[in-house]
Amino acid sequence: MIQMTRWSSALLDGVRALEGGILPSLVGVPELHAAGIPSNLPGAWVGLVGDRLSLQLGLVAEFVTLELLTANMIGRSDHLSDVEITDAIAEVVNVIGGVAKRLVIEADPSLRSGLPMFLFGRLRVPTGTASEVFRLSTELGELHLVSISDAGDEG
Amino acid sequence: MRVLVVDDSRAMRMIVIRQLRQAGFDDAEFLEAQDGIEALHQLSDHEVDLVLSDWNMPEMNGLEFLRELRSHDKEVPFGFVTSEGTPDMVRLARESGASFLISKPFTPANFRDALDAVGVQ
Repeated sequence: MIQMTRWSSALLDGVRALEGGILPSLVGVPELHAAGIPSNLPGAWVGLVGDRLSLQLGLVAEFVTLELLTANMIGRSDHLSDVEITDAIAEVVNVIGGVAKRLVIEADPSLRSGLPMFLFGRLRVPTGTASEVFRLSTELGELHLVSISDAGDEG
Repeated sequence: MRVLVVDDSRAMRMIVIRQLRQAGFDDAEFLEAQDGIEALHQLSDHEVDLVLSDWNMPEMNGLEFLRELRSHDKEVPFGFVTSEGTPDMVRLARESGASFLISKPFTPANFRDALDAVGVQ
């Protein structure tokens, strides 16, 4: 069994909530990725910020994988534009963040969700934070799921 | 039946509409808006039977949109379809005049159950 913080547990529960529903092919067994956050992979991020907690949750992958995820989500694969792909992946992360928030809200009732954002480049991880990365191999390709929390937060 | 779907994500609007069709609303006409301001413009031009709105949106969020709508005595059934779903937000939605809140991710059955409960056929 993987040892993980409750933030990562909530993140992975958020991903599992999408399986077979709005993302039918997002099925796989997450594995801890000890090498850290993959550099220079695009992906989407959402922040959960409260009086006591500050979390960033992300999903990054090769762009072609994000394109396949988008096609799987909206049921269309012809001529997907970058805008359609970034919009869809940001929404995926938004939904994951919402599920995660419901699971950790008791730890900080003031927790609020930010708007999701898509980054084409590398996320600068602030100092004083702790991150966990999980690799998820799906039939659409390999994804990395990331949780970043203040190092002082109890996980 | 005419339904206004409000979400800043075009992908999510497509999914909501697809799942509503799967829930039995395949004859409905769907209007779309990407935030509360655009939704208010749609409502000034069209009569609708149901509004389904995201909560977190730029410009005017779903709660602000709902309150603006109710301040103009528009009593159209309104449901949130949102990644939010904490007990406080469900309470806030009800107090502001929403008929229901469906948390993302959802299924066609979630829509069918919620719409049956508020008498939308």
